[in-house]
Amino acid sequence: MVERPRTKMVRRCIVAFGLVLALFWSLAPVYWVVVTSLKTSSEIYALPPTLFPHHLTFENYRVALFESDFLRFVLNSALVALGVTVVSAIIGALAAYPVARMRFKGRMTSARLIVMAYLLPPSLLFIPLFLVLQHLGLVDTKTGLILAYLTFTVPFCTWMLIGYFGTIPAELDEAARIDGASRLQTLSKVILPIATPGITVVGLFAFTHAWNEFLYALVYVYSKDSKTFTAGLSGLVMGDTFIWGQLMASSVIAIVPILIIYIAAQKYIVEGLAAGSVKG
Amino acid sequence: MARLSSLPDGFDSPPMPTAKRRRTRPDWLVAYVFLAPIAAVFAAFIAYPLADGISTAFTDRAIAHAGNFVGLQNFVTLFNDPEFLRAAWNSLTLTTGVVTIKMVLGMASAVLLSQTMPCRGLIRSLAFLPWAVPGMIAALAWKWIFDEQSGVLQSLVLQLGLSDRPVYWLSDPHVAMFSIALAMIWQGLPFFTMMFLAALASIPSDLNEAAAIDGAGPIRRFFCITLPQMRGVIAVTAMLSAIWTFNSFHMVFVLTGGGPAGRTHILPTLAYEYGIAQSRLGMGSAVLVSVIPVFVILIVLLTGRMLRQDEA
Repeated sequence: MVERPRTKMVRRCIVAFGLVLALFWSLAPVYWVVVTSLKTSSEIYALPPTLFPHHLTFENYRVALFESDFLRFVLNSALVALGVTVVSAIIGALAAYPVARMRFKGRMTSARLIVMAYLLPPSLLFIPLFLVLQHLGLVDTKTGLILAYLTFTVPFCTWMLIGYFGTIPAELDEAARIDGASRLQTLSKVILPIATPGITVVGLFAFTHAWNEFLYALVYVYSKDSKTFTAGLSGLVMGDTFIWGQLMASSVIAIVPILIIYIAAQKYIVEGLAAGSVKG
Repeated sequence: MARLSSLPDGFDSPPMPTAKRRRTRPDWLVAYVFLAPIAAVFAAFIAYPLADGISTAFTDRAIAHAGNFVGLQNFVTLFNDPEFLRAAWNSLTLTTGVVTIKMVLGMASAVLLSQTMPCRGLIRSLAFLPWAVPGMIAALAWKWIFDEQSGVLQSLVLQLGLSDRPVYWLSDPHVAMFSIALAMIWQGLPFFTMMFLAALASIPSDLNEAAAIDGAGPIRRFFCITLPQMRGVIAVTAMLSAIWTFNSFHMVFVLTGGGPAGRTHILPTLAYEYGIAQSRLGMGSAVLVSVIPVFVILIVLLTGRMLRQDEA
């Protein structure tokens, strides 16, 4: 289509203006976190606030890392998130395979239940799940928290993997079956190696969810040995004095792993997101 | 055991000798065995707690007290409790308001980001950044921005002369709901943008071209072609987001903690307040059970749509 030069100019100006606005909106809060974390405490509370740190300091990071329990909380988060990732990838792959490939009674019901479980908001479950963990003696343990997170990540991983397995040609399964492979062998030796990118994305999602989760962490774990960083940070906020420098430095540290994942897998994540919720 | 790294070569290797005999096992049995772990997770950590939560809502159970059946007592109390009614109202208005705004802004930014421009990939990644920020951190960042003494927003408003008095972003109950909404929109907008971008890309371009040749302007084309084509995606995105927005416990909890004087509670934070902080498990469960009907409808609708789209 050919546009008149004037229309083209106007269009470009609108796009440029919109982009500046959109980027300012999404980046300014993140910028503010980073800048605050690099300021001295007197500068943090200076009025009017400074846009750049006048005295660049890493003091807040030093305090967050070495003089608080934050590093331990981050380690707990990492352990919980890894546990959740591994368990939900395994359970998810095992469950997704029959739903995607096999004929059995209750296949549609299974698919329906998986989607419903994925859509169930965690805030509806947090009180009764607390009682279940109490019965099992798993309140305030990392294992308990992992089990609680499975209620969200397992249905999610399974649902995504059903879609992903569906994109792998069924002829591959049939060939393996004719060669005498059992279903488990077909899954582990034929499907899983091809599905590695899908499994990776699903695993990253599960990791991110467990890393970011706050409500369950707040309710189910409270000792230093099992608290994750989200619960740890809320402990700092709920006091009367906010140590913003340290809080912002801690925030930056906690964003980094997710940011690495996000940058590394962005293309797949956006595709996966689109494929998982709406196939188009 | 040798691992098959790249698959197609793997097919050349001979099948395992023991595998043949196992083929007599019926397929449906294998399917159920594969589904056993997920069934165990569902039964123990979703179905049982859900049933237990519903039955707890009819008791006066507390954290260190087994509780007795009290019938509808908790619900009667709740529906006469101004704090519950306000939390329900807040949940409803916050969810619908935030989802609506995200829908409009998400559409605008999707159209914007689908234009040709230099470094489009990078710009998109930067625009999606709030989505990658952990919710807790986003809440903290906004709490610092809204800080009433040293927050950047406060001095911005005062210096630009937008207000001659300090604005109590989080401690004035009338303003606080809007502050919470702003932070929720910031975090949730990229999801809409991503979904709408993907949907925009899948609209066949000949439709638009044909309409342009017929003389339809860009605005007309948007409303008569783009929007109708995206109906399905818009519905699914809005419903998914409604569930998640309702669920944003962390924003309210961190920004206001439900205060001042319980004026900014939403149902999940009120359930936490009653059930965990005050250890009245029966009341807390009743708060949650009272919204189950809404979610049953939403989830059933959404499940139908998602499965239908998957089969298509």
